[in-house]
Amino acid sequence: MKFNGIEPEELGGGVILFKNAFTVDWGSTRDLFEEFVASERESMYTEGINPETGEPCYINRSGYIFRKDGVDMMPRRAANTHQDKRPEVIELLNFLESARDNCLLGYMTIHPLAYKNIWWKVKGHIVSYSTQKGGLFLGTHSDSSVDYLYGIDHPKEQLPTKNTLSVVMYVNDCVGIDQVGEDAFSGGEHVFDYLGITYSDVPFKLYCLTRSETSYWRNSLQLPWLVFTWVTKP
Amino acid sequence: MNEKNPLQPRHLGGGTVLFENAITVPQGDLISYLEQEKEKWRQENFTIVYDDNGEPLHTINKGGFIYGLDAYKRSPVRIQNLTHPFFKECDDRVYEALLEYIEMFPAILQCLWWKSGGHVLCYDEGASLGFHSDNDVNYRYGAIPQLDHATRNVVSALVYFNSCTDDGSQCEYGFSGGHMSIPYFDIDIVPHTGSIVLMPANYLGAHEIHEITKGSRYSYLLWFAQGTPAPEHGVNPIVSDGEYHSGGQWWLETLIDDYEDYIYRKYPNGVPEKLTLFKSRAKDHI
Repeated sequence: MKFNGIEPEELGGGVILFKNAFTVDWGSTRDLFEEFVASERESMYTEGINPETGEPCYINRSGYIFRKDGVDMMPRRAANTHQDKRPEVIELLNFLESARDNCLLGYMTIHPLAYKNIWWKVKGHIVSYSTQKGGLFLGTHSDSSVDYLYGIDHPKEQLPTKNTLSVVMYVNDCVGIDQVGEDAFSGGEHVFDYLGITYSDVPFKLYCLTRSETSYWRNSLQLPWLVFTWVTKP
Repeated sequence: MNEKNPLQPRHLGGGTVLFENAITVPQGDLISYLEQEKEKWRQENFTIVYDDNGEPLHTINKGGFIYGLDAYKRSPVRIQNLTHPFFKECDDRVYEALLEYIEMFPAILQCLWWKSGGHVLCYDEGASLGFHSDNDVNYRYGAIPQLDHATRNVVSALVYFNSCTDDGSQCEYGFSGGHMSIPYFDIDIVPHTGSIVLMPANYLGAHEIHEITKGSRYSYLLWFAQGTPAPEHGVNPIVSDGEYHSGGQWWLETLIDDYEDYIYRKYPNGVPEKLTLFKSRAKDHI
């Protein structure tokens, strides 16, 4: 694991890219990430049969039934990583958190006033998109929205409304479809629709800080990545 | 009744959108009203202290802070409790501009829960406002402000009531200086009567108002915000009765319906999918 330095590149609209910001060992990182996302998916859903339709489905821990293809299309996430006490996990996550904090300082050299909106942070979680294992894309969204509609019950979870800055750390590379191997994927562009930014030219490990990302992923073969978020006061 | 021009949004960058000539301002009547309110505000908020010979020494504000005789007039004046009928029209027009803003950035729709009622900000000669963002409450670790409702602000809106005449143009209520700059995106807005600006309330819309070098500058400000009520933090929106109220916080109870009406009227042959109501997180479920 190595932090390579900070060279911020302004993509527009507050989105800053730090190319080649860090290096991690892909093999061991992939194994850990796969273990985490698989374990979390397994703990969330049990495979079953929908009694009304007779079709295969997933049943979550509260007993709700979900369509199998709907769940399989969702990105796999792992948010429980920070409870793992294995030294190699702690070392990796501490390294990533530290790399992120370094880049945050770089971000503030471009947008200094951001520091006044940053009060606390949420530790990162893993998100995986894989054509074989589930998670093909994520639709356009804002990281600070809780899909509020006047008249409905106020969402119980309003943490996203406090988000100031989003961070994405990519741990493997986007390549042309004919070059896809165990350590790379094709598709998975990160699109900021309103800013006219489509990011896919990932030469190696990179690091990106954003305010309020919108993303659209397609045709991803295998893409584990991390999201870290800074937020304001509750 | 105000004569309405079609709104013509222009994205200046970073989410800041300018609508030029968006509203016709009844300047003579309005500015005379605001001049009176401004003087009333100064009288209520500043006391002039005189020496033994009856010569004015300095002023003291309500908080006990001492200002020089010139300095107190260089502070921007916030005029609240607005009663002039034009402000209802102003709010309505900003709301129409907001619908167009949402069309440009549809994902923002469900981040707009309520609005803070408007007020007027007046800068006299020598006044300016330093670099700041509209959702900042001067937080420092260990010193959490009690009233932090400004952290909920999502979109800032402003309307210019008079024009900067630095370009050599002539108008009765013109002023010099007073540009608004948004440095992170190299934006410099020269105020023109009847223009509306909508911009992010966070650091991406951080801005400053340059010194007014001649005359007085008048603008109207309000914010659109999100988050559940928390009266202890100063967040306590209520349902509107349909009348104009200066100040306060008001639920945007018809915003979703109004946006959908607007967008379906604009695209009668089919609304592009990306402009329709976002339920992004709900896509995770069936």
